[in-house]
Amino acid sequence: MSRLLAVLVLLAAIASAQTADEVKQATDSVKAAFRTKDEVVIDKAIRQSMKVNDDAVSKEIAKGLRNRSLAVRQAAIEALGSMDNETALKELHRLYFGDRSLSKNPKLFALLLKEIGRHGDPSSIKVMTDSPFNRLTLESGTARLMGLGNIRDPKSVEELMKLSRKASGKQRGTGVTSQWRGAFNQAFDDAMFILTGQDYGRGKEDLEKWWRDNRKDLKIDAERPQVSEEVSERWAGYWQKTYYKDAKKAPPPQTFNAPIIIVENPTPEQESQAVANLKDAYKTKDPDTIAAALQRYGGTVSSRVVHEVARGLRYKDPKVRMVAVQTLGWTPTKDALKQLHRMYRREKKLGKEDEALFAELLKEIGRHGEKSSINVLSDKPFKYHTLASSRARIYGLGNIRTKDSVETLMKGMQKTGTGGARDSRTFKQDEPRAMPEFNVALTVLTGESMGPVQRAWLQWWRDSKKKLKISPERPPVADDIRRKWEAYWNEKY
Amino acid sequence: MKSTSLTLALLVLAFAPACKSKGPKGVGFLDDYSKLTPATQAERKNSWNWFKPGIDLRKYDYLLIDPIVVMGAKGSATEKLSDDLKKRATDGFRNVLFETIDPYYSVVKEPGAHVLRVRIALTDLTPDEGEGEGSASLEGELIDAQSGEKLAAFISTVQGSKGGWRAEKKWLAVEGAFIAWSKRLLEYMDSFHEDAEIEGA
Repeated sequence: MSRLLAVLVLLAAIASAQTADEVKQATDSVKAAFRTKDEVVIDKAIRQSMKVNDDAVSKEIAKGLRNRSLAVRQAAIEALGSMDNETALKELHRLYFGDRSLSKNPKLFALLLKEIGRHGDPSSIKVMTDSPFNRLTLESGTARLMGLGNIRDPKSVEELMKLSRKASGKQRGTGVTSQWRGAFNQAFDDAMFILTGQDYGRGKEDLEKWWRDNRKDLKIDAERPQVSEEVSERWAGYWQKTYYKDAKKAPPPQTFNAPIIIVENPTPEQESQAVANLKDAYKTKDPDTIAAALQRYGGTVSSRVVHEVARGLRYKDPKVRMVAVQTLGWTPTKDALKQLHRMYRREKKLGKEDEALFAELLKEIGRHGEKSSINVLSDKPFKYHTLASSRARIYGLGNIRTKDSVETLMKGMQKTGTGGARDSRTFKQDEPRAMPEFNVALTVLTGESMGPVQRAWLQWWRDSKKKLKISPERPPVADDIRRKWEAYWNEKY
Repeated sequence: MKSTSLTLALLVLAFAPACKSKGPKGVGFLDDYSKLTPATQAERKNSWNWFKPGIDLRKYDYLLIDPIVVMGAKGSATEKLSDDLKKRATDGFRNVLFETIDPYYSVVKEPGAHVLRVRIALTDLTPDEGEGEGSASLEGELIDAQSGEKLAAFISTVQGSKGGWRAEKKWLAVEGAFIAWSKRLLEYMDSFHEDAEIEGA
């Protein structure tokens, strides 16, 4: 036994000695690189040394945080964000509170917030919530929300709730565009879901109710909960690492649940019963009763039933309107689609008044996959533009299996802006923000795999548009495309 | 009461005394021209209409479009147009009307519940002979397809519209009129929803 212990002690000593060597080598290499004053050499040394996760190495890399070169500062921030030690995080905090001029460089400032959030340490909550609307950009706002979502502490949820309230009171005059609000809403939803593992429902009132009911006893598990594939993929895409610590752990199986009961080919009795039940529900004037009746009877495929469901589109209560839109989206008849088209046509300010309902309306129009919806989905795409409305238009066009849809998507792709300026180090132009969605829609329509790269799709279009034919059936596509499609539509590919 | 219909009703009443005995001179497609009053919109010259007081088209989901006819005044150039041209005009109008309406309202072939019947006659088709004078006129009415009750009647002329693009050059203005009328019908039907009382309010 004592011999085994001696061997173990020896092995530990060898390992420690190797680590000490590595640490010395890493710190020396960074020191030497700084002496050269060559940003390419420094950048390379930092990126090489950051693999040695040690306080001393972090301390040395931190000297790059105040380097004149933007590229070196960026490399140092990224390195310290990835290094899992106390010094790395402290140095990032020190930079945040010590160098107020940093916020004048929005890209670097957002990167700093993101890398602080990456540590997931509760001590960073004060950074994440420090003057959040000061020099707000899409990237910095997202970094704060995602950062809080990565700090597994009940205080994060509390701060997210405070931010949500502040944001709703500050929408005007802060320069927060509707597109930003869409991105922030999504980041907020993802952060809350990842922290709590619970879907708190839809709308501000539902959220507040959930918070009132849960804030006292709220506990946050150390491990991230199972979430939908869409959420885990967004998280992984943002942080550039797998969502589940155990990479082999499978995400929950995708289930498809239509929000309504669909009765195709109903008997005359079923039809009359559905109409009568819907009329009775409207008489109660109770939104919950009406919404439940729409879900239970609204999917009876009949023109008379569609007529009754459409009354819900004009209802005062937003929940009833939302359920009516969804019901008509899932009801497989052209009458239902026409009601949705009419709502789009007559409610010209819907995108301003209720962004979520507007995006849902576009989504449910797209669900029908009818050629007559191309004009609607491509109508003034930048008016009331949000992340959700843009996705609804793109996925909707992807669901209409015609060459015209491809052409409309190609035109739309060229009109959308890029994600930002050229990257300061690589000089690569960012892809359009909605490029991942364009890629999914175009892949599903054409069966081609060009990836989320605008130039590749444009080149393909130039080469193929004359002879392009769109098959009536969706082609086989890669798993990740299929999963995204299914997660969005809540229907099997 | 819906504000649009109230306004329309008041307008009808306001104009009624002046127009009671007169009304426009029609080609005989409509039963009664005496109730028609001049259209209020400044740009709609030579246009007349009548709306049933309290008219509300919100309940209609479908349109039944009767075969469109050409019915020019006796001895007019329109009356003398060849049958082929007349057919091309009515087919063309029907197509434009269908394309405009169909994404929003189903066009059906049989009367029934929630069906609005549209009767139209083209009463003047004047080609553009190079001086930008092309124009078209129609008479029409909207009828509840189930009860047969008349809901609206109208006479309209559209001159020099540039909306057309599929027709021969000299008929562009006529096609432009078809497009303008189709859009007006759609907008008119929309207008009942815009001012509608919200349910549950």
